[in-house]
Amino acid sequence: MAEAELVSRAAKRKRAFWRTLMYVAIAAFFLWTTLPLLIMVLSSLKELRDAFQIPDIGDWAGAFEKMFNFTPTLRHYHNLFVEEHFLTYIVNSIVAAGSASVISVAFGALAAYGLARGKIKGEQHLSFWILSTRMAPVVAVMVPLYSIFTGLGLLEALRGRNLVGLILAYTTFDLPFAVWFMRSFFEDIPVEVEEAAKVDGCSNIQAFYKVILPLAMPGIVAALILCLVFSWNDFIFASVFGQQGAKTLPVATAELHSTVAIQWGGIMAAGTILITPMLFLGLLVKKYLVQGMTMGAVRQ
Amino acid sequence: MAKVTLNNVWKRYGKVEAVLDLSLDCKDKEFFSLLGPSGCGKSSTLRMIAGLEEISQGEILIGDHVVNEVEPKDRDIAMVFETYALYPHKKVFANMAFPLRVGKQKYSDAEIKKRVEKAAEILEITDFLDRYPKQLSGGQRQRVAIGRAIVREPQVFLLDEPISHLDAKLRTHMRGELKLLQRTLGTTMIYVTHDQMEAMSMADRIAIMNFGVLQQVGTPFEIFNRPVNQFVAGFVGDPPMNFIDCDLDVTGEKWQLVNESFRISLPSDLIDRYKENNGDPSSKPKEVVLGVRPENFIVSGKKGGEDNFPADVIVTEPLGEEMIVDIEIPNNKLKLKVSVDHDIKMGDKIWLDVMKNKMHLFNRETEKAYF
Repeated sequence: MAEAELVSRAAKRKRAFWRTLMYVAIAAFFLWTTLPLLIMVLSSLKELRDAFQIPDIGDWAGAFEKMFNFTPTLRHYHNLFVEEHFLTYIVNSIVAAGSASVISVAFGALAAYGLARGKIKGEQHLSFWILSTRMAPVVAVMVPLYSIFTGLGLLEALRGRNLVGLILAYTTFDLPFAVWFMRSFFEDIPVEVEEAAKVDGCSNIQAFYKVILPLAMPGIVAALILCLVFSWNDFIFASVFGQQGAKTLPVATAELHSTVAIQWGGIMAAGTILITPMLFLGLLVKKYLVQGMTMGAVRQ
Repeated sequence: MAKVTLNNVWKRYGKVEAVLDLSLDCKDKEFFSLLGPSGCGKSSTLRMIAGLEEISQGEILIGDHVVNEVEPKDRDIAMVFETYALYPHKKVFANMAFPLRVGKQKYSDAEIKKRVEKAAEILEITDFLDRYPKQLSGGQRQRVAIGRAIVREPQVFLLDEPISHLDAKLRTHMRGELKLLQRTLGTTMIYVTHDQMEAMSMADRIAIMNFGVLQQVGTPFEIFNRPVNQFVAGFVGDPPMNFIDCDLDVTGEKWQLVNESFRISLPSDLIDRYKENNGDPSSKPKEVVLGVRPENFIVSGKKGGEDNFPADVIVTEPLGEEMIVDIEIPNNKLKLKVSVDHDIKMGDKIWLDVMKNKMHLFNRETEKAYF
């Protein structure tokens, strides 16, 4: 009896040790991810002299005080919208990322459904080819893509604020991702459900949008959000293809760090503007994101 | 008219021939069963009738119309799937109303409500109309699937092993329910199953298939009592028929089945039946297979007449009113089904007679039945 008690106490201590270690790891990860964001948001509201207050080494209380004790200012945000015309770049980002995501998911859903259900010869090769377009580094396709866009006159159009070229560019990497991502969700919907719809009176198209689409919605929403995030955060495509009239938020933010001056306050404010919509979107639809990403894991 | 006719239908999946030269004739208002082991082609046949699989060769008619190129939605059929295939995002009412909302014929909301409620009443699922499929048990989901099929009042019902996933007790109950339902609705029903008890108890006629080939079509009585080959004889009946290799020894008018264990004389009516179907045999002993169902042995504790033979009891399996007895004779293990009134214990020696009017004889090479 005493021995059993000793074993139980040892087991409890072991569990407590590992639980503590887990909490420490989670806390460290939490600080690692949120601290930079916190510094950025706070710095966007500080005058430069407050933002550059550096505490002495080891002075933790001083660090805390210097971080949170300041007079807030909206000067940097004012500067961005009035002098740097950031509203235009925000609109450009919304239109380009939004349009590319919607186009990619709309066509991607149809393609993913076709790959999941269609008895296509060489379907495995086709699927791999679609996936492989995401494997190459983006910089490798920059030059040929730029050449194609110039040939099609899309860069000229971009100079006149036409975002078509940028939307197309975003779609080149959003669409294969959307196809690859959504395919497994369509595969997970039992074929019999679709067959039942066809026997019940649906044509192929009706079966797709009355039965398949509602069932695949978590996956579709997850794909839409991820495409939106990728496109919104993109820098490379926007910096190469986004000329004067089609500049997006990440590119405009980078230009605040010029050879003439580094507008730290503006950069912090721009960064805050950049991540805020994605944060809210993620919180709003996290239910769909988790469900969408794990739906394919377990066959029901 | 809602008869279903298959004329020389083939189904190929690449090089694999799943259904070979199948011709069937299901009559109007008939409960017709497609029976066979897994992979015999019965589900492929049903799916071709439904239009969910393309027909590789041949033609299928529903009524008098060839439906080879007709979409499933235009064939006026309803199907109940093995996995029920309910729409998980719709409640039970919406599941059952779905065919009425998307079909060619438009129904008013009032008509839809009336039909769904009527079907729900027949199937005793009125209390579940407001639930989602995931909130129902297997048996309840199965009834919803049937309800979704009957609301449309189609020409033909197609059922693909609809009760195979239910527990044994519920399966037994549903056999009677489905048979009664078919009689009540008076609609042609084609029922696919691998369970011979389901087919035997419910169907008007049964088509048995094996490896894509039709073996026999007939009433349950014909299939059970007049099997055309060893496969049909062994597939139907529980426990299955016993097969014993022996020789047909014909000496003048005396015909006997002979092996190491017994010498059984054939009565004149069986001799006549043999001659009628197969002509006169030669005088050389013919290799045959004797088929006797477990319930067609007569058991006694002591040696009886000329055809009597001994056997050793290995295992007894009491089942309440009856008992399955596993016995051993030289080179064979057999199963008997006898009343529990017989005082038989493991290790006993018993004496057996075969009910001659219930014997079956098969060609050992072709497995075809002589009688």
